[in-house]
Amino acid sequence: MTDPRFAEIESHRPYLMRYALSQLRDAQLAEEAVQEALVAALESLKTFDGRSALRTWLTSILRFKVIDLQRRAVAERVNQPLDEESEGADEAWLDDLFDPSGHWREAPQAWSNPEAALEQRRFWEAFEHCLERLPPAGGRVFFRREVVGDDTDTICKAEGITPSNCWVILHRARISLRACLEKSWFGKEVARAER
Amino acid sequence: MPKDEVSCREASRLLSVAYERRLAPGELDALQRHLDDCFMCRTFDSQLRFLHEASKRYRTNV
Repeated sequence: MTDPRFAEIESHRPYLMRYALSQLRDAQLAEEAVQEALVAALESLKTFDGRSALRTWLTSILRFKVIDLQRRAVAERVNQPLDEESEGADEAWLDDLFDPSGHWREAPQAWSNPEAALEQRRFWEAFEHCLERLPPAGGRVFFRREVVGDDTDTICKAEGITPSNCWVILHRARISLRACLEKSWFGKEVARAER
Repeated sequence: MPKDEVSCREASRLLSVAYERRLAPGELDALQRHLDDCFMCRTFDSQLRFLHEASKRYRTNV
């Protein structure tokens, strides 16, 4: 008999993949970790008591798989040092957003009732779509900082970058995410309301 | 621009970095003065707060 929670578990895969990627920095390893975690989760579904959110429970299983794979990756020296430092060091992207006098080229638009968006499934699809479009290092660092809540020092060390570089990466990620949500969600919201 | 005034570009940087470290008193003052005059950066500020909340919500999905 198929447990209806199988499909529900599967629906968390994109989140789990993002979590694993933010820690492992390697798509293949991340895929492996998620796969192993989902198999383990299905096997021990009986022990899930619903006292924590399903996503939280799945993440705790994944965390151990990630640690395990990190250990193996270090042993096999799979993990490449970060070559994406330029993502943070290069501030040319700011010139696209601000004119030479430092003003917004395109002013951020006011969003109507953003809190209501949090209750809509489609909003979270837009959110994931926008996370997906961040530069790789930006996506990982933003995810660890804002979603997981790791402290900046831990993240910088794992990425092998300086704190100020980390801050630039986060600044860029926040600005990009904001602009993407405005385009793919809040802009459309307004269009819908006016129609 | 007087040296104690910040542009939108600099204000956006300070608003972001405030999530990572405590701003120096001088930075805070300059930022606050900028925000008092700039509704675009106030909008940006509130949207960063929204991103922060949404990201936390994304962690648990509830």
